[in-house]
Amino acid sequence: MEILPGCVRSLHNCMDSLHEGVNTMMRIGVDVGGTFTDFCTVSDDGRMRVAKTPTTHYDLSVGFMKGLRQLARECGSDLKALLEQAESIRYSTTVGTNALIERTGPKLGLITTAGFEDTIFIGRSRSWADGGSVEANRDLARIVKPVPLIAPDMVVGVRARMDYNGAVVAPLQRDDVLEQLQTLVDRGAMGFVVCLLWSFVNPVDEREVKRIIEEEYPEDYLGAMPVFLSSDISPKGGEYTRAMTSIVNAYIHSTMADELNKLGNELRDAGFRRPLVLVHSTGGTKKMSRTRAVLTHSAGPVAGLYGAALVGATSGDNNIIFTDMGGTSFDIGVIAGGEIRLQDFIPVVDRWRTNIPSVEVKSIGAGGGSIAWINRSLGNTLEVGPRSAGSMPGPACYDQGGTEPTVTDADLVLGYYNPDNYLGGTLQLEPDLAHATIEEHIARPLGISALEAAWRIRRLIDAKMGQEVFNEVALKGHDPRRFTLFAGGGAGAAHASGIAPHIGAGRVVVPAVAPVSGAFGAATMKVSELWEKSRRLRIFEWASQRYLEDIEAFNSVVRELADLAVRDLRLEGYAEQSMHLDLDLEMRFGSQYNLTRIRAPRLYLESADDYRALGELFVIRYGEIYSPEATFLVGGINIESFCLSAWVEAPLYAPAAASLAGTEPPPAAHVGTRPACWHPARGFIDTPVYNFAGLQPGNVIAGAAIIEARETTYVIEPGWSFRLDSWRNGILESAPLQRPA
Amino acid sequence: MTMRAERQSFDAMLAGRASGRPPWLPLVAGLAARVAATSYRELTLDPGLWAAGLVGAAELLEADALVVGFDLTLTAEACGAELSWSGSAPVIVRPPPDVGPQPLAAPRQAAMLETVRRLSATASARFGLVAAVIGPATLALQLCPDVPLDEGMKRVKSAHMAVTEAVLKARPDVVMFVEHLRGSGTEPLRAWQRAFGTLRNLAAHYDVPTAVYVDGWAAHQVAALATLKVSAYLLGTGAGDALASARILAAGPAAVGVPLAGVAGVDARAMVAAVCAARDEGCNLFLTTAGAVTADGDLAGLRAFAAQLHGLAA
Repeated sequence: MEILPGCVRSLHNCMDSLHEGVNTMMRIGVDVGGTFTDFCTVSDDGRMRVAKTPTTHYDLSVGFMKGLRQLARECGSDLKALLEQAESIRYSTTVGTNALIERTGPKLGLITTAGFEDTIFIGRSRSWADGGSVEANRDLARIVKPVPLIAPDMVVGVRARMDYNGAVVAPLQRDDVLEQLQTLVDRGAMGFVVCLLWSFVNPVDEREVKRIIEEEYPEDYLGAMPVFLSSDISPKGGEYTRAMTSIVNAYIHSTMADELNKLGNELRDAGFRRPLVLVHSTGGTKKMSRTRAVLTHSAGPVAGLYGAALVGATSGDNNIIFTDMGGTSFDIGVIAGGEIRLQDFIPVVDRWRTNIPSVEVKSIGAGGGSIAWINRSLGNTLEVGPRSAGSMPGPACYDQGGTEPTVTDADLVLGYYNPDNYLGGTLQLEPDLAHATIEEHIARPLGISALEAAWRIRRLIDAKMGQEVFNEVALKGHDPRRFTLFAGGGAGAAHASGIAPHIGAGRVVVPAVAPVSGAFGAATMKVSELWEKSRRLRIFEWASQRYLEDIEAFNSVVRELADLAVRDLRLEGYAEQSMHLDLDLEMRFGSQYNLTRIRAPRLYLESADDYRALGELFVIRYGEIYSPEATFLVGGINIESFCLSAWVEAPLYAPAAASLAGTEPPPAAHVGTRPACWHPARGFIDTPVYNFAGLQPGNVIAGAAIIEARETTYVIEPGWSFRLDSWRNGILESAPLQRPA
Repeated sequence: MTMRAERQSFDAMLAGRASGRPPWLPLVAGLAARVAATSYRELTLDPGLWAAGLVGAAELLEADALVVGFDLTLTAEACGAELSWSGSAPVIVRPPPDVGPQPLAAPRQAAMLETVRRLSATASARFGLVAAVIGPATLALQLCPDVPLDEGMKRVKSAHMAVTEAVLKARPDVVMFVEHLRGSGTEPLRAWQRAFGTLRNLAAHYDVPTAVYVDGWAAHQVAALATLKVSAYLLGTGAGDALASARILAAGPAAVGVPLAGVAGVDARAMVAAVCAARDEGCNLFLTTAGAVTADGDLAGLRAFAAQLHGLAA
């Protein structure tokens, strides 16, 4: 499917790449989902092409290559020609997440400070609930902690101590390290994680441990084993989260390296000679060779959020509730004032609390493949999800052996999907299989008709998603009614008008790129990385009530991070003049627990007055969040952590707005009618069906109506209307609501 | 890995290219046991022996592909049917009271899957790899002989899908469904088409082309075969002109295997020449055998055919 010919204001002088022979601006974005793998090309002639293939969980590269071939066909080309034109392939992958969930990682050993061997097992108060479902966490009689990634007998302590300033209290002893190392090797360690107390302040002991290990097991020997240092992976305070971040990274590293190298080889054989680029959950993209494994977790939804921000910048929507309803999960993110501000600083990766500053996107198990089931222990209540039929066997109507009813089956029974034109006709749906499974598993046990059962399944999943959106947005302090709901994902357009009422939204935007929002985001995200370091600076001392004067204490930390960032981006292939550096500071009053993040007005301090300016900025920002009455300057102000964002401008994808045609769709776009059910009491009603490709910007269609696009279906419920805007975004609007003043 | 000529010939056939000499896919079964110097029963319980036997037989016959699991009783036994081993090949003597819930756990079925995995890993550079699975209609007739065919196919569907998916996961180049139509016909056709539609969808997910081997076919059933829309057809013993029927099937995108041997009265030399002529006209035909090449098959004759075939490429 081709989306909107337009123009790209490509900022070539910002893409000062050192890659040779890069004459094209075509970028390919790939996003692996639980059910479908999405592909999107964005090129400098303003064209965008998309493709979707079922995700092949048994080997992600099979679906990846299949999708690229399909994309090549979309471009009227073959795979080799497509890959030769591609400046980059940007991939948001689930390889690492799958390795965690399936527990296919290596046997690791953890070397920590003696006396603290149980830190990762004690966890952090209620860490047993991290990543667990609400139902499992409430079952207190049966809940158990997850099996640790590193077994207790694979954790050893070395007798070395530093204080909080990084000063050595007890020196590291080589013999002690060798003895502990041998213990781990004898027990079968295939890799090591080193996490010593206060190493984020002074990493010298961790580096020495690594040096000793590499001396014992040199890289050029068969027995060489990888060593991961917490001071490299996560130089931040909090030994539990620092250790878990390092352990998760180590655990998924080799699986990811193997699978991505294999994919890289297949791409190279097919004609792609450039490095594979990976999307990070921190909101950027980097070459695979410059990416830490732990940063790839949950990258797809983050890419979708960035794609939505770009679409919003074009269409003038600055306050966006981004949603993505795919086959397996429903993702929710918030864009406020055009910025993606919300970050989860201690995100849970599978069941493990880490400290990577991920962009916050909430995911729940709700999608087109969500399985409807009867909860017999709750009085035969109808439930939908969180289990999904995935891509295999998929919904029953996919006729791949699936026997359980899903949301897609319900939508098909209700007449919303065209069984002969699903995914452009590439996947034939079987309505009688959908009907039979809903009848057997839902209708008969509840004593209702299959039609009523399908209706209830749809209403329930819409309510579940809508409620989750409301919770997520309202609890972050936003009024959902002041935001525009963006409905992305392959199933987003089909459920947009069902979700919206639950948050009081009368306007929903289904972006032109909705079916492949993650892939679009991946293709358009900029190259960036976050560099963090915990360092406490008391910039306003409570005892003296004076601001700090030593600006070098601040600047030295920034310089250290900037040197790392610049070196890293140079290795990525960018010249220094194309790099941008932004500094965020995590600050708090006195000995508060929580931190507040502010954007520093400048990278380096020039005089002691700049400390005052920082302090005042913090007080203002804190007051905005918690009220000016809550500020407490006399308690002192600390900087606890420095976070440097290093990024390179991406070519701006800015499609030209097409001129508006009339409101009446062209006759050729109206392809007929189809019986569809808009309420079981009214049965099936002949509903007009339109072909999305035949519509023109400005066309308006009143619901009830169905609009078939190749990668998605727009379901316009009664009481809603559909309008195609100048960028081919679908705007769904209901009867005007009373908006708050 | 450098692809050998046999592999290239097989790949060309799958890609729809009818150029060069016709690919040669003999359906080896008992011959593999003879090569491995063991009984067929022992062979099919030992993946190592099975793999070695198939490779040895393929080398002996100068085949372009290995065919694993060409055995009408394998899945039926796994689902609980009782076999008799009194002859050179097993036969089903009694269907199970119910279709067995875990066919993958049955020893011979498990051995077959492991053999496919091993050959996929070790022999794929040299030979194409075809994994044979009993067809849904034939399995239904074997396990549920007393019920209408469409009802029988419903009852065996779950077990059949499980076996097929397990085979697909073992990564063969082609999954071939073996249908023994003798005396059964293809009614109801819709149920058969639907079953193959499901199997095609399943195989497409694993990116594995599908094929069907049909025994006991008649000329009037060729049109029905074409509606299965698989990537390759292999004609076994049938009451019709195999070459003419193959040409009809090859008018579409599929490759079609013509039985070179095992068919009474077939002039092998003439058949090879006729197939070559058809390929020159663009028909994607290849050569196979009608039924399994057993331990006591005409090995000398087959080797002579193979020599003639490979001589065409020289």
